[in-house]
Amino acid sequence: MDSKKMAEKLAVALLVILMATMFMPVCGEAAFSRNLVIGYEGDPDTLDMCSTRHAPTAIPIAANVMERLFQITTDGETVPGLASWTIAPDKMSIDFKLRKGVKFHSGDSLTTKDVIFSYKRILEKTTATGFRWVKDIEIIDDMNFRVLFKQPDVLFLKDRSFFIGSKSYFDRVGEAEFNKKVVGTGPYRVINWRAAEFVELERFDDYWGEKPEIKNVRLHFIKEGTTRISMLKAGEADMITSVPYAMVKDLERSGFKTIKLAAHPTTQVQFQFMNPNVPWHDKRVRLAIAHAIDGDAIVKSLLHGIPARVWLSPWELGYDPSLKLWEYDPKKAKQLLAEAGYAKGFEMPLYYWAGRTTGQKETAEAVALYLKAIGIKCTMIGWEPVKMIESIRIKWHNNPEAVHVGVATPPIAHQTDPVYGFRTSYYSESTISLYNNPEFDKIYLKASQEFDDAKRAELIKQGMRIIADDVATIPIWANVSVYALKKDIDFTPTLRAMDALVLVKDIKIRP
Amino acid sequence: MRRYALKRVILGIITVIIVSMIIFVASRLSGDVTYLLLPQDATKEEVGRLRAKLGLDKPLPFQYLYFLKDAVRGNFGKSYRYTNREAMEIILERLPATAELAFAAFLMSVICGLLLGVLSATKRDNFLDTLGKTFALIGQAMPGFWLGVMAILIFSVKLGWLPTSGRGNISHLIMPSISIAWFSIASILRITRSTMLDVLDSEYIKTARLKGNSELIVIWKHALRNALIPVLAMSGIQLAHLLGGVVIAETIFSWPGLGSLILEGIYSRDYALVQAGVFVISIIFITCNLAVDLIYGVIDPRIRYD
Repeated sequence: MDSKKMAEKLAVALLVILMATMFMPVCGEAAFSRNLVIGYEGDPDTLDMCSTRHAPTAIPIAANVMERLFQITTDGETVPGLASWTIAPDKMSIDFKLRKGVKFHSGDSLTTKDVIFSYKRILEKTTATGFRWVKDIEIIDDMNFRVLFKQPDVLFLKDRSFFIGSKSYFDRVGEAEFNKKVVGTGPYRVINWRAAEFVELERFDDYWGEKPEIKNVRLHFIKEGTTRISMLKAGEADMITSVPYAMVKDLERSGFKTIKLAAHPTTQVQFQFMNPNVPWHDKRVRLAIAHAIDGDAIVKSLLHGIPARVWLSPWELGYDPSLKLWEYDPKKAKQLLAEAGYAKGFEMPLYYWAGRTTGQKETAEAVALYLKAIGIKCTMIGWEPVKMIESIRIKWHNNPEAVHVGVATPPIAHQTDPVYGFRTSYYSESTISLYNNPEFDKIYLKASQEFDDAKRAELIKQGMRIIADDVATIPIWANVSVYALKKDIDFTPTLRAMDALVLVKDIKIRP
Repeated sequence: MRRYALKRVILGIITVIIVSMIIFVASRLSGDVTYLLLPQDATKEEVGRLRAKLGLDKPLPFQYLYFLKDAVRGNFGKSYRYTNREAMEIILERLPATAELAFAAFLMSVICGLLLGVLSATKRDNFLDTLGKTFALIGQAMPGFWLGVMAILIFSVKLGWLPTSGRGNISHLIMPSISIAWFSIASILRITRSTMLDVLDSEYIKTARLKGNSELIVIWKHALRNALIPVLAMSGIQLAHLLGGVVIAETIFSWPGLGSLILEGIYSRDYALVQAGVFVISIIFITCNLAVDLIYGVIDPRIRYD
């Protein structure tokens, strides 16, 4: 009898131990959390920015580890980082001088060898479209090099200055290890990276710049928004990125802090109006459509009041406070339509990008309903990005017979510089432009070679005016990145060309 | 038995080849991948250069032949999305995580499904049976992703018992495997219950009872073995369902497995990755079906002599 009881007790004890071991690592993680845990929505293919094929998911994190030739401040200003520069008078080359005493995480010193290595690696491993206007890079000596251009490129400094990896380290460890444990000059070094799971970073104490406060950080790659939120609420994470709009209020009510960063291009109604046989060839019709859509209501009712309604955000180059979005005025819209001879309305296709972009389809549906109210019947057509890009390039770009109105996100706002969006989406010779205005082209060409920020800002203002006067596009809302954090954490997000960066150096824990 | 097995194996191989063909063509139907890989405003020359580099400038049948030639040697090409790495290498790296999850879920659904099914059948119309039937109804009606999200809310956020996501120890495995297994448990429960009820009504069970066998032996040895064939068939189907369900659970619970990887591959039109992934999954799938077919033969002698 006794032995049976003994066995029972033993079994219970075993069970307790088993349960305890099962849950122990979880408790362990909670203890780690003061070293900061972040739930990040992307899953980078690699943190090596010289070979990544999917920069948008890699950059926000990799920017902690690797650095470009320049730094960008939290206000979006470009300042010397790994190098300072002098622009040649003819603007066809830029001379760079590397900062002295910069060390890679591997202990190697930064020299021009590393610059050439990174340049070649980017050319070999990626599509390297950032080097479209670069002719070559010449080494002058260990610390000086010169970038030669095929044509002046104002965006090189702001946008296309590339990330630098270590040649000596690569030569020592080879491709596989280099990809797994990336070595850069940034304030944080990689301790452990597991694809699709997490990366652990540690402060690099030999960093050339200001020493950040946080020593250890672990970034979990969590694709699902509700799961990121649960991590925050369960206390597993101190901060999460990309909070779904619908959940922002709930998190704020639950006592978390949120930070919003307008970091993405604007969803807009975009016209291809070269074709004289379509009603929207008439500017009055485009203006009528602009007045028929209640953008504020779309933002409030469909997008939880979060996105911004702007042409450009106030901190952007060429921001013009007098350039306003159109008022919602259905009466005026109807009147304009009647003046143009379409009092009874007409039929029109409304293309939108199907797939992963949040709110795009809903916005297109709302636009169709607003237009129905003034008599314009829209046929909604949702296409996958690949098919859409192909059609723009082949069927609609610069085609005087095109029949196209779409809800899309051509980039102007929230880029490193609006000139980027001018070039891709509005300059008539860009392969995906739907706009054709010689006067605008002239301004773009001038702006693309104007290195003086104040003068370029003037040109951007003029360019924006022309687009707005033409009603070539009707901005509705600009996507906003929302971060949520525990109450005792401060963070200043940085934007760099559509990427909302998660720079750990800008995170502080308040005592 | 040997001929039966051989026939099944050959059929399996043919299926793999057909699957590879379908996935090859289907992944290329959805448009030109170069537009996704390059910035939207890429020039015509840039597009042309990349297409040539990826071998996409050749006609489709030739592309397939090249693919086949390399695939036979185990080379599925390099991934575009995951920076120049061998597609198969990435797939095999992620396979253990998915296998772990699917196996846990499968084990859970077969054990729970059988147990609850038999109990429900033998204790007909009492409390256990009602419970079993209710569970079956809810299980089949409730989508797995909803269950997953609810489980996270209750057990991680409110109670703090289990970690929300990620892969690690057993505590990480509990919620994802239950959310996948849930539906399958219900299906296996239902089919076990109904076939058991049929079998329990039959003459030979009465004989077995009359011979003085204990109820335990009658149910678990005589009745269950005869009821097992449809249950086994159902388990085979459920395995397919589990592999499908894994994709959703992997996304919700950030489980670093194959499903979420292939999904990402599809989004970014990473042909090499999708082909390698689907190839591996179809092999697993066909092997499982084969195993089920062969086990039929073991359980039911009538099948192997056909």
